[in-house]
Amino acid sequence: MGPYQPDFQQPVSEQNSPQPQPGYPIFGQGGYGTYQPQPQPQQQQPQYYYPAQGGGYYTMIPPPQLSQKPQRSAYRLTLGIISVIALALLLIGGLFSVLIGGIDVLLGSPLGSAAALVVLLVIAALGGGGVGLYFAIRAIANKSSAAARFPPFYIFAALTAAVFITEFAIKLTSLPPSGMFSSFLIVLSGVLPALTILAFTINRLGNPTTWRRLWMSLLSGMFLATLIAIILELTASAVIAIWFANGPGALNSNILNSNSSVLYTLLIISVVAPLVEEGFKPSGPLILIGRIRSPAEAFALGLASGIGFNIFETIGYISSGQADWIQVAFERIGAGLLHGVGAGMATLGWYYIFRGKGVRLRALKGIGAIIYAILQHALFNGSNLLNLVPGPIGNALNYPLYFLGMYETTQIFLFFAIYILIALMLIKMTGALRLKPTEKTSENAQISTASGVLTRNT
Amino acid sequence: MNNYSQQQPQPYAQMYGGQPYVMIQPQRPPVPPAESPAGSGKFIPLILSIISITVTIAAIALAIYGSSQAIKAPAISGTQIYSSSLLVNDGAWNFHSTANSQCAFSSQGLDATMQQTAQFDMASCNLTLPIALPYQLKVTIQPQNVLSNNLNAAVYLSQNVRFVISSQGTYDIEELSSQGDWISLHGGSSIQWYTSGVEANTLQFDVSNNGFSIAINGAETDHFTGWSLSGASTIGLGAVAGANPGEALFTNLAVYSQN
Repeated sequence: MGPYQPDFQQPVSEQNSPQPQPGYPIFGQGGYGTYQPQPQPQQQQPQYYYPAQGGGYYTMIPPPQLSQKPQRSAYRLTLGIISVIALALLLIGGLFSVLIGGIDVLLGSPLGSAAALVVLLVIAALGGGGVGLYFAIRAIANKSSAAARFPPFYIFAALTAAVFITEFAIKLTSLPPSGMFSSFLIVLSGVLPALTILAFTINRLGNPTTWRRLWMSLLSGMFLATLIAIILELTASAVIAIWFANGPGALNSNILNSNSSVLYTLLIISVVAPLVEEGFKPSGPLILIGRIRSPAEAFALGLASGIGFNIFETIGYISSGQADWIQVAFERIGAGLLHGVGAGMATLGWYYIFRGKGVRLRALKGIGAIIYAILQHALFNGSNLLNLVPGPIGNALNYPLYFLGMYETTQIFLFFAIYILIALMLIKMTGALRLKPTEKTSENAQISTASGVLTRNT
Repeated sequence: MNNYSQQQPQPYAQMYGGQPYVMIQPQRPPVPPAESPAGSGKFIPLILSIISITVTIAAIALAIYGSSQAIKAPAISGTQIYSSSLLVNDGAWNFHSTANSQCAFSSQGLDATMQQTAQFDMASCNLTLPIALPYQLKVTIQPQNVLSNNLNAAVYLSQNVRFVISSQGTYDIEELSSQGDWISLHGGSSIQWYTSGVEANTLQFDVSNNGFSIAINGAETDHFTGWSLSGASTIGLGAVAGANPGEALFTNLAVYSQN
């Protein structure tokens, strides 16, 4: 029996329902699933016929159209709410910093170059937290984020050069540093080199991520990772110091004039610090690991997190340098490479481990990348103690230099050689991971990932 | 997971009350529309560039302005009543050496050490020359890298007031209490202090009847009032101990009377 044909033409409902689009889950699957639907053929509205009294037919009213609102991801909503709470606390912390700094200034207590750290905390907490809050609210509202694009890296490089030229000119003309007035320059001497590295990486990778993810990774590195690192490193230092007091001998880590002091310092800077920092710098990107679309994005987000960590740490070091802050800033000009590339590699490693299904030598790549990050950090930190080695090595590294108003030693060349090696590694990795033009991030693009899985924008 | 997209509506006939009816399974509801698309963000690099350049120029201008406005140390005036490189013993010093604190001339300067904090810590090295108020004092403190202990220098401006500064440039003005403890009157941190550990620092004190000002490396750092002192002062040099022994190496001391 074929389908029943009515005697008269029933009105056909207007074709007013939107057709299914590729890349969106079919109703009922929920969230941002990974299902790739088949294209749906055009179909008319369903028509229902039922018998009426006296032999006629009635057309049922078509079922009401379901809500046309986009599906909301529970994961995104949860993450958005947590972010809003955390960022609100960050804003409160920033306001508290303003209060503390203001009280110090009013009481006439000179902050010295520590004013720079206060300025950074205020700007990062209020400014960075405010922008982050904007992104978090947009995430809760199910709004998308644009692809992260940076200016050419040489703009930031030129600004970095301008800042350092100014610093050296101030020092060489014997103008005294001016505390609060110099604090913005001090902050820029830590921020601009880091932004140079970040801009270079994002541009070279082909803009693999969005502003929201990038900003959140930056903030997580600056605040979350540093907080965890401070707590764990202090605890580890105390435990090791107690062990030393009861064993190898009393410590004076300010004066490396005994074997126990040297061993203690080596343990802290080459074992504890790399393990803790490389383990927790990728905390922010790891929260998003299930949603990262490509190895390039994983590396970019990890690098952003490392850059955030570096900015906080570098400003802290520079601000403790007092009149030598210029020297400290110059020595740490490449620290963003160390922290950024390390965190980028660690995040890439975790990406391969969790999302690398189908990738050749996945376990080797994943574990290898993480071990590289830890070893890079350990070797760099350990090289700080090479000048204690007796004999020709120590002598070669301790040869005094005086240039641009700075008292240095030849060990500075070792640090810059390591920076260059890490920069070459960055160039290599970004070249290898660079997204092809067809894979560039856009709102509805289907990105081919290492595992062939389609993910949505977060 | 049900593969709903592959299910096609299937017409079927159903008998109801003897009459055939055509029922077509309802089509699945339409897929929700895309999220509201984000902007392309193509102007963000330009905006970032403008902001970065503007902020950098402003910071440079502020730093130059601040440095030009920084208060320099008061010019040396008055009559020089004592000057020594402190590399040789010129007989003008009393040494208050105990098991806890020592002072001695070395080839590099006047070296003072203190092993641990104790009550009634006094200057290890005392200038025997009485100094009348007001006066100016200038002394150089050698860097950390020539010391065997932590740099914690103390300059005694009188028997019961001292200025203490550490290798990181944090300083304290302390007064001796009746119980023998040194009480902090005022403290701070100096951006003029060289912390690298290889460069010497120079302190200058301008002491008057009701207080004194401190200049470090040619720039005024702080000033302290509320301290009344009359008559003559006894200048001393020394070190203070913290968790670890403290040490200080002094050179090039000069005192100018402004009477």
